[in-house]
Amino acid sequence: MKTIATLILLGISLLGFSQDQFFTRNANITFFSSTPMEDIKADNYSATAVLDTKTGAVEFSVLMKSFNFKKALMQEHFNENYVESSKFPKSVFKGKVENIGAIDFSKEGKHEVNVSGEITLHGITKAISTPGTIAVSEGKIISNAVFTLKPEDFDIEIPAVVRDKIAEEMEVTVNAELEPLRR
Amino acid sequence: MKKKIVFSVLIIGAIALGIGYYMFQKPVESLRDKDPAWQGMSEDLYENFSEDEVAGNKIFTGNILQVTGTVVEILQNSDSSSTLILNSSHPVFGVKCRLDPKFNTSKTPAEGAEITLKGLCTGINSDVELNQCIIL
Repeated sequence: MKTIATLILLGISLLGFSQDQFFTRNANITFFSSTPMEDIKADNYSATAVLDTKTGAVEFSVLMKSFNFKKALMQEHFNENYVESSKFPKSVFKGKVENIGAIDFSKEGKHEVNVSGEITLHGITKAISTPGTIAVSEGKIISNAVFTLKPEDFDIEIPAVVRDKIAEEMEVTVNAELEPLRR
Repeated sequence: MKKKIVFSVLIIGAIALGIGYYMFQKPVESLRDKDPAWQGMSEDLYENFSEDEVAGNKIFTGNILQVTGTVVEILQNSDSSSTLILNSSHPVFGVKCRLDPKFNTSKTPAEGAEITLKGLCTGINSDVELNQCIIL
């Protein structure tokens, strides 16, 4: 779980700063559930992410308790009953941008990419692959991806009494603006 | 007599439904008037938490903390809210505080300013994280 911190410290200690590593500590991750009964949306603006533009290695890490809901009871149920965030405080994605070699990071532009890897949520790790975009703009990398996750794939039990209010598939949106790692 | 009982049951039922609906719809509250469980400097919070994450989660996570520190970085989030990084002895990481856009009435401080804020500790993820922060 300390991989992001270790990668960054290695980048700093070996190279002063790594020219290939881009980093953010305020990536936005949103999940959205829509049913005829109710829409549920939660935002997290504190995800940490690191991308190595040379190898394509990418990692996101997010604290489950940092998701913000509009309704207090939803936030409480999410943390205590569903994702059990005291027991499983983080969700982590570790993967690779498969076609990173096709992107020229010295030129501005937007590129379609495919990202694959493993996501760990609620203590369960699953393989995932999703299309996304990477844009190079003003020395920054702006990444976006939208994919779906099923709570049942991660052993998240939804009680029968609220089953109609929670979608079987959650839409997850990831937006991150990464900057060159230097400090 | 029977009418009275039916009427009383209906009234109690209506009150229970009203309370249930209120509880369900209740928004997340501001931390402004809530007492902190811990007060201290950002350097001490980071050091205590990063030395032992398991112990840190037991002591700090889920609690309201009142933290004083120097703003070393200001981040603009995609929803226009701001996140402040408060100092620590670590070269990169510190205490990451997302200001509550709904309840935070203070102006965003400048880098280098010493501030005190209250926030809900959500754990450590390279930085120690505080959510729903209110500058005092």
